[in-house]
Amino acid sequence: MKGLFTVVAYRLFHPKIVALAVIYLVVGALLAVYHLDHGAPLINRLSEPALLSRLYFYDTHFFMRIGLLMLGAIMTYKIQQEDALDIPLVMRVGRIRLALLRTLCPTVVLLGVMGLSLLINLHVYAFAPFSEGFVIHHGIVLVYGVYVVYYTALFDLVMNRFKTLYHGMMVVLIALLGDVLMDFDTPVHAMRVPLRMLLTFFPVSVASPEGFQLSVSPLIPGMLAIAYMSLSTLVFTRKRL
Amino acid sequence: MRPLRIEPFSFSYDGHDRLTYPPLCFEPGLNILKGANGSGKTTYLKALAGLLGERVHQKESLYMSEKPSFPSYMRVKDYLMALESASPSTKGEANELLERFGLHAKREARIESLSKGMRQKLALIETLNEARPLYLLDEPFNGIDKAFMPLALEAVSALKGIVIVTLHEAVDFKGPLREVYL
Repeated sequence: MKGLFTVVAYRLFHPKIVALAVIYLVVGALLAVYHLDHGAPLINRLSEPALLSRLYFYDTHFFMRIGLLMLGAIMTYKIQQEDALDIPLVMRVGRIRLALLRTLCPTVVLLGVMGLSLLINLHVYAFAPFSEGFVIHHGIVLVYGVYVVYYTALFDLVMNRFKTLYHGMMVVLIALLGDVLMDFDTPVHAMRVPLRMLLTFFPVSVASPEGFQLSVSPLIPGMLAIAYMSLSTLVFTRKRL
Repeated sequence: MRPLRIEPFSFSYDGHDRLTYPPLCFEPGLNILKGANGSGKTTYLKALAGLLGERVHQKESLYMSEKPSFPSYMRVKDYLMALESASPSTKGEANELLERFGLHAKREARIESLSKGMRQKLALIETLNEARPLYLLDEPFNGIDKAFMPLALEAVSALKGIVIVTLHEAVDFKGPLREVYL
């Protein structure tokens, strides 16, 4: 297994990926500062909770989504470019362990990005650990992290497996499911909390003093995308060799 | 070691003509797989390696691609170390092979800095460093200069097990080998 981890480390600490992580860190910090400068005062001026959450959502999440979309795309592209190791590794460790490796890479990226985002949030917002605000932003960080995996998986599918109608349909379905579930007004958000907890595997609906509600329903498409990525790697690695 | 007998089978890629293979027998030692262009030699080797399904997959086989590709950003020694530690059947002779193939000075170099011939040698090294009952080498000497060919041929023919090789050009090899026709 040491060899596999060497490969993972090499893939993750590829200079271009490190550069992207730094870019993400800078962009994330700028976004956070922008939010402090522009978003917070705007939110403070508004009192209606629904509008508040919607503005919050579009103010921060929109930029983060676009940024993470691009980051996930480029990162996945760079990781997938290194498929030169496919044949040697399949010959040595087998297809299943290679699939695990493929899944491990974006997962480690996810954890790394989550950690970075958490640091940014902790530093910029200076939340006290375990305060309500900390929990909310910790949750947001988690959602961002899932976005990374989700979009990484999505672009993995688009870039490498968009070769047949079947795969194309899966990409569209996952994307649609993801975006529908991420929308604040979908039926998922209207469900009762226990059901949402069941669906998302996470205690949702953390209310802030301003009435902002955090939804973590992106966990569903994230998990679906990861599951599909793993399965498709298992099944379709063969065709790409 | 017993000869390897492969039953007849056929294979077709999407949208391509079906390739039909006769029954073939490979003896322990060096076997040169021959056939006309387009007869499906590469496909045959990939099928045996299990890269095209499990039908004729020979477990424990090792396939060397005709166009070996590498993680260009890795250093030579790290790449070989990664493969060694990932493989349960490594001989652990990467350093000796690097020395023998004249690549020892490139241990610390990134693979992207290697010439085509050096990369081919690296692919040979990673293959020779494995102890397998069946080796499937697709054009393993592509890009290797003639002066180095005798050493490369000797190293490949010294592999213990059944070695099946496809060749683009005829090679001058004095040792025992068997030609098998598709």
